[in-house]
Amino acid sequence: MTFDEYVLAHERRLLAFAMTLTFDRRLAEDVLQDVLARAFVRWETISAVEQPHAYVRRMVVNEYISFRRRWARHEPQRQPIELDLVVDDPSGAHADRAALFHEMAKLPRRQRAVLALRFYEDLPDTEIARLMHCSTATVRSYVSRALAKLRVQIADTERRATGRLTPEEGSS
Amino acid sequence: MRTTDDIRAIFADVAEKAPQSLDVPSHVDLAPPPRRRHWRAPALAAASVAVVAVAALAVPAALNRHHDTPAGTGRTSASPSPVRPTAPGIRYTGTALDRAIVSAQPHALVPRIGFRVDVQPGFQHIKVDRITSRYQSATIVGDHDWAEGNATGDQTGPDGAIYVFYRGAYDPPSAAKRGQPVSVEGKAGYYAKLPWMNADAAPNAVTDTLIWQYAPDAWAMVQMETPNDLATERAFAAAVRNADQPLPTIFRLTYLPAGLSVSGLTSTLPGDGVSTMTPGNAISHVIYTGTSLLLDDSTAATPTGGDSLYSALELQVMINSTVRPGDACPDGEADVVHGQRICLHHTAGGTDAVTAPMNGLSVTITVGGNHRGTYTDQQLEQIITGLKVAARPLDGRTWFDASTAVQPAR
Repeated sequence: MTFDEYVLAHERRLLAFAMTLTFDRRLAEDVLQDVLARAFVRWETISAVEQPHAYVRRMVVNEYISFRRRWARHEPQRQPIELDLVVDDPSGAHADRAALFHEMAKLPRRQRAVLALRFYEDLPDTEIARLMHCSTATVRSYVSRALAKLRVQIADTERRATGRLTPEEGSS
Repeated sequence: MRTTDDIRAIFADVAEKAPQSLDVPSHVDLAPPPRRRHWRAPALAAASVAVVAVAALAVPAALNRHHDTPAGTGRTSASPSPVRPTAPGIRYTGTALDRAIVSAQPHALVPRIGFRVDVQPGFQHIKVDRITSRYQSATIVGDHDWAEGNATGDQTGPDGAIYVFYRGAYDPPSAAKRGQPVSVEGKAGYYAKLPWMNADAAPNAVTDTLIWQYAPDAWAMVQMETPNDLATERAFAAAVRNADQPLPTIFRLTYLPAGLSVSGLTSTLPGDGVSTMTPGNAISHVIYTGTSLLLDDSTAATPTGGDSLYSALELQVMINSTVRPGDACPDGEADVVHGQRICLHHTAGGTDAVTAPMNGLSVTITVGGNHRGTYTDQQLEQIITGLKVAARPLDGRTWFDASTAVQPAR
């Protein structure tokens, strides 16, 4: 697969993933542009790995987690997003989900990245650990801390599907 | 009750808000990546290469053309010997930090490195790379991340940062004083959740932060990526030492319009970046090599929290890409000043970017919202044509001394 083909096939997906990390359109674009820049230069190497997309996704996470302050990147104006929330009970649930969104936006980047990888990309902890350069225990710790901070419980459907623990159980 | 289903729903909604495709910044050059064998152009190449990546989709033909970067001009660097700063009230004596970079004149940029940090187990790569009118800061990179960056050529994130504020430049917020009282080498401090100094962090995000008062009305801060790790933050705090070293910059400024001054400076020498050159991977070496200046006509600082310098409203000068003269102005208005090709990009509010190829590099001035329309195109052009770039940008020995490089005579 050429670089052009890869980008054409995955650009939208990568942008969506970058959005779940940054919660900001311009920053998501910047992160992905920088990642694709490096990927383009090294595409011969990247395309030879078993899963080029996993590799590029890892680059996106690294780029986002890095807190090297790059003045060259800053955008003229941030483009914070607003959610179009569709819930059954628009009174209380809408407000709480909006509050949850803003609390997620305030999470430390590693914690939000782990949440995005688990709950958006649906990656297993072992894959997240490999991607984040840490142990699976650390991944679970990040998830546990994030969910506790957000006061979120593991959904019953997910518990049945994955056997994953609640924050309290995971931190014990 | 909130559940993980809510998180999934929010992520799905956020993902839906993603742009359909990447925009190509109009003010960045379209250039193919340099071949290592011919590599001459360093410094913050990511921006241009990013556009290359996108351009590869839009204009593949352009990527098939081979261009050489222009050769260096043979300029020699200035100030081979460091010049001591002239800012008043600076103390460089003593071994403790309490006499390190305390300034009697807050909010004045002191373009010299005023502290260093002893290496810690697992953290051999700690560099002071940012100087502002409020503080100096060092980036901490763990050995694991450093090795990872070298092995893969990929960017890996620094693991923390140390900020040493000038006297009077930082007033601990009430949240700090509600934190856990601690002592650092006999100096009183607090361990509390405070806003990230790093502006890349999410708005209003806080992290476990150690601050201590290293001298009267003078504070320092450690913030690590790993949460709840007071022991590590305390170890870094105790490892901060007095220093007095020149700060190298890749270019020298010779002109600024009246009223405009340098309010911030970040500089990373070749080899000091997170990623370094590996065989077949020339580009990563230079992604974080280079210099950026922030220019401002108001040095008022944010008293607490946040990194006010990372503001899109400011005006900044940076070396950010490789460039070939023929591609320098794909979408802007081309101009030639004293034989120097310049590209101006306009918005409704005024000129927002000026770029010029220089010594194999692309120098860019970005004009933030606060300054747009304030300075004329001629003044912006004079800033950029007045820049002197190091003769051999990948050789830090040819870089300039910030003490003279960022204080142009008017």
